[in-house]
Amino acid sequence: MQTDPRFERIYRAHAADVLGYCARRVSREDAKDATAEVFVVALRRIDDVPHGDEALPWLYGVARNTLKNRDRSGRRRRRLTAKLSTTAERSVPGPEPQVVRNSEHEELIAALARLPEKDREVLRLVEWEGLSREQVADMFFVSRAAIDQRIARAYKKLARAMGVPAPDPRTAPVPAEEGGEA
Amino acid sequence: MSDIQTLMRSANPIADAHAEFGQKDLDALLLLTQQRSGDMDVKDKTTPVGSAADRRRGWLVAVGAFAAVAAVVAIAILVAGPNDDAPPATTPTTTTLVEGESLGSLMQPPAAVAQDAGYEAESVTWQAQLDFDGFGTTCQAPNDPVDLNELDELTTAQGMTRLTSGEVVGHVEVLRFGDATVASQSGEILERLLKTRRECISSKLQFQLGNGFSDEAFASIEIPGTLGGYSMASTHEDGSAVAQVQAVAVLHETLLYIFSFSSNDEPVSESLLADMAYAVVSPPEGEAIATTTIPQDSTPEVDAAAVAFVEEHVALLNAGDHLAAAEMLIAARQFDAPSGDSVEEVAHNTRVHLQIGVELGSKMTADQCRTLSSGITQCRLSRTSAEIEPQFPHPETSLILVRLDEDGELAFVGLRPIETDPWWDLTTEFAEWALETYGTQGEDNPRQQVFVDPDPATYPTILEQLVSLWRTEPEG
Repeated sequence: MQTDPRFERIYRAHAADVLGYCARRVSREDAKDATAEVFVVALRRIDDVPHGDEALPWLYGVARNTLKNRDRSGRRRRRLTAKLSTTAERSVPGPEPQVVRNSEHEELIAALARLPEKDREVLRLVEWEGLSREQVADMFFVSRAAIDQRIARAYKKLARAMGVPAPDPRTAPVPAEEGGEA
Repeated sequence: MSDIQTLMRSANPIADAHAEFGQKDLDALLLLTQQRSGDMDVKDKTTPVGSAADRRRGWLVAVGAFAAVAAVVAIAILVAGPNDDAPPATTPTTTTLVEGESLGSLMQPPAAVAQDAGYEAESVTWQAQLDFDGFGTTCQAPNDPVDLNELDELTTAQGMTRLTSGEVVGHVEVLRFGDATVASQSGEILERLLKTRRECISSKLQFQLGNGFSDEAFASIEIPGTLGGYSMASTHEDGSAVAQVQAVAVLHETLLYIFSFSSNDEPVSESLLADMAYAVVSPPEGEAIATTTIPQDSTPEVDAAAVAFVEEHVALLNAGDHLAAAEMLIAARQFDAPSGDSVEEVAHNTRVHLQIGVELGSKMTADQCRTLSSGITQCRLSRTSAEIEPQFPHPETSLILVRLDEDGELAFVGLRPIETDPWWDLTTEFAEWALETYGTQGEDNPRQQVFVDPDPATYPTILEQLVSLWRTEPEG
């Protein structure tokens, strides 16, 4: 099947990143499915996909919405089904519990899951996906300062939940692109 | 780097995605993408998909085409009823919706509109296509079945996601009305209403004036101030009227239920419904209406769930637990952003969402509520509330409105937060979003203001300011 050459380039460059994004948030199988959805959107809207470094944040934005829609639809169905069921429905885990865990990080993942969705997402985009704060700010249509503030606040909540010292409020956490290991 | 930041980075479940996934995985995924894209190309043959702007234009074309088809079918049905001698309609229709100040003159039972137009009420079969957040809703005559592909495209273009692949067939507006003095006739009416809706759904939405609702129901509609029917009219070019949007309202306890149907795909705006509600029930000064929408789907399970939803909501209100009731309504209005669309696109493609908080709303006069609800072109509440759904502590105390002038300029942002931390964060964030999205905050422009005030004692003052600003015409 013939595909747009630009789409091919975008896919080759970013498919693993998008799949990684999804796999950090849902099961591997669901991640593959969601990634396919993301690139279907990209293929259909190829003219809208930004060029250069901005393509990946755009794809992450699509992936984020895709996962949210899937999760929301799932929750709707579960809620409606639960209303009709006289017996307790078998619990279907949401995306968060399906994140790969190990014992060392389980507590952090659990604390992360308790953060507001946007706090959680901003942290992950910066620390796991390695986006710059400017890129994250663009994704959320807010200023860089707002992202800095959100990250600082999220880390504070996370530290409190984990029982570790909170970052010094006078020094913002080190952005991934400015130092530290990825 | 702090300990917590180090821990966060080391907890990354997939540290290197490029190393984690092999070429085989990616090739298989590309094949899957191409297959799905190929499936969608079938649809694309009927609806070109281009840039976001093209897509918006495409959506308008689709809506226009659908409106034209719906109008033609509706006219055909109108003229082909029992009155076989009626001449065929030859004049093209426009979809000029008569609203706003003309509301009063149009306030009459639905059947009367059809009769005024020269048709017997029993002959009118309604065809409707409505939509609202998260769901496409279509009501059509049995002889013109729903085109699911078209519905999909329409709903997708408007940022909606259907719950299932089944037809989405019902539309119910639930309005909460703050006066409990009309509780007497509730039980039987509600039961009949729900039964009627189920029948409507099971018969694939053949909703016939005079038939869909019983004589009793229509008789009850005539009761002023408690139950009501309402119709908006559009006109042919020759000036003759065609009933276009209809609402039937039933009060139950403190709940006002409104069924709304449209004879074409003209969306029924929240403000129009609010006006209809006020026209129907004429709430006393100081009482307010909050609106929400219950999504409907054609499956019996979902229908039963919707009924259960209503019953549960009524129970909560009857128990005085307005907070839980409001949370139910908020949850029912979750908003699905379309994949890949920016906030701006969502805002532009999404019809009005308006939620007037119960607490604040209870302090509004009918006139204030009407002023606030008219002319609103965008409201972000449903999206923001959905985003923080698990943390949304007091939805009934919220009011977030964004109003855009016709030229797209931000006219006003109103916020009513509470003290709790998540909500405060939200309002701050929302203010940033609104101002960055729609323009800089103009301290010298009184029409661009953000209210962040946690003190309930200031509600009336804020409300007065809101209404005052709302009524202010932009300078220049």
